Amino acid sequence: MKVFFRRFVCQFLALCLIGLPFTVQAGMIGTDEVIAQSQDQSDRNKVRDFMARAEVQQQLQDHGITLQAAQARVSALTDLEVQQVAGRIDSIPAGADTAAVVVTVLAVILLIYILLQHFYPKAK
Amino acid sequence: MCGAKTRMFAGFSFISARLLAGFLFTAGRCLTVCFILSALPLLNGCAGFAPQTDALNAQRPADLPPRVEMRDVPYFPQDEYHCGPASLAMALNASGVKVSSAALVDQVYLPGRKGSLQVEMLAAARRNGRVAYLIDPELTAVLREVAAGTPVIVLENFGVPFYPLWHYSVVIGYDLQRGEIIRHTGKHERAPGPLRLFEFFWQKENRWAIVAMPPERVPATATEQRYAEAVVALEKAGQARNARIAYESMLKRWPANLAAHMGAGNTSYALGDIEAAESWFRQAAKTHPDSVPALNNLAQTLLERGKIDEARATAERAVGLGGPLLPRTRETLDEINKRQASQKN
Repeated sequence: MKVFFRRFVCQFLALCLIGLPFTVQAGMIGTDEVIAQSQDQSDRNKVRDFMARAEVQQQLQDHGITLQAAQARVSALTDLEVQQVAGRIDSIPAGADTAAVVVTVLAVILLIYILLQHFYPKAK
Repeated sequence: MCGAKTRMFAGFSFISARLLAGFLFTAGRCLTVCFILSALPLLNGCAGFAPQTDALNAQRPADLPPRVEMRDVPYFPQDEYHCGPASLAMALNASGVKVSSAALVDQVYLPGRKGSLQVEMLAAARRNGRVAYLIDPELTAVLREVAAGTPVIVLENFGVPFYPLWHYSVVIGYDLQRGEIIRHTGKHERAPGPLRLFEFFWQKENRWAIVAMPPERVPATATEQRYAEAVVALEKAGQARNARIAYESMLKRWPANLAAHMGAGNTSYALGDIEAAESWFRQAAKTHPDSVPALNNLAQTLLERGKIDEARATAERAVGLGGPLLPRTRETLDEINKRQASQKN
């Protein structure tokens, strides 16, 4: 719990540091607010986006990205993208390799075939 | 990879596993080709296997050339699992960014997943100063972008539901008469393949396809609202200079777009060009007289340029329009009043 709290505070401060340069100057209304479908810029939403960002950054670090790289990567995501990824980093698509792809597809089909061969007669 | 597979099979049947391993090792590529060739006529007969290709074959849109191939899209061979960085490097270099595939590994590759996430492909394009745009999930949209000279990064899934195999590649051409799509993919430079098969593997991942646009150009199939969102994302990624060019390009296609006017103003302001910002906001307020953000930002820039009376009148108009941004416009008006009061003293 203590570790979690410490981690959280660190991330919070780190995100404050990255977040600050992107806030529009006082008095100006940002372009993102112009295109927002709803003018829902409530504090609750801001906190939600902020927490999701911290979560995604932590998840990137857990998957082998350094703190510095994770910060830079998260800050290039939009709020919507952050919400799409938060908590789902293990299940969403991650494009990888093809070298073994077709062979693997074949292997899977053959596996099903073998399974059927072995278990189907027994089930009779 | 094959070793792991053999272990998997051993649980079911030792003999089968040995047979299978031997089979896979010896048959190799020949087998793959045979498999695809034998499966094709079978799959061709299935309705719904590649519905968009069928529709395209039934009637080709008049504006779509029958054959296109880009010869100037550089090819980067991928290392193991690095199809994300490699595909992105090809698209970015084609758009004029000199970046190597290795340099992009740090921006998109996720070691824990041995792959690259879709959103990070978009984000990394932005970090390199390009507008990352998710095109419509239509085969015709991909082909139209290619016909317009933009390579398209696509995500396919070669696996089955319980064993997905995701892969990025770059579409560089097509030939509708031959039913072919041409891609740079994996270890293959310029690999033509059947369009139907491509659609089959592509539609499993909801037909995900993106372009990385140089800010001077707008994608052929872009829609106004969604492209504005894509440019705003570029602006928010700290790329004010490129975003400003992209907003100006947007205005050439959609001259009345409010977000583009506002974005051009906001990025000019962020770059310290207050004079240009004033001019953009003035245009925004002229084309959209009821836009609170346009009036508010115009008032703010007028204030900073010392045109206090005009700033005050503009801010009052913004406040008069009310709406959810009222607290912000009031703040702007208060600031102007304060300035005016301090000048009188």
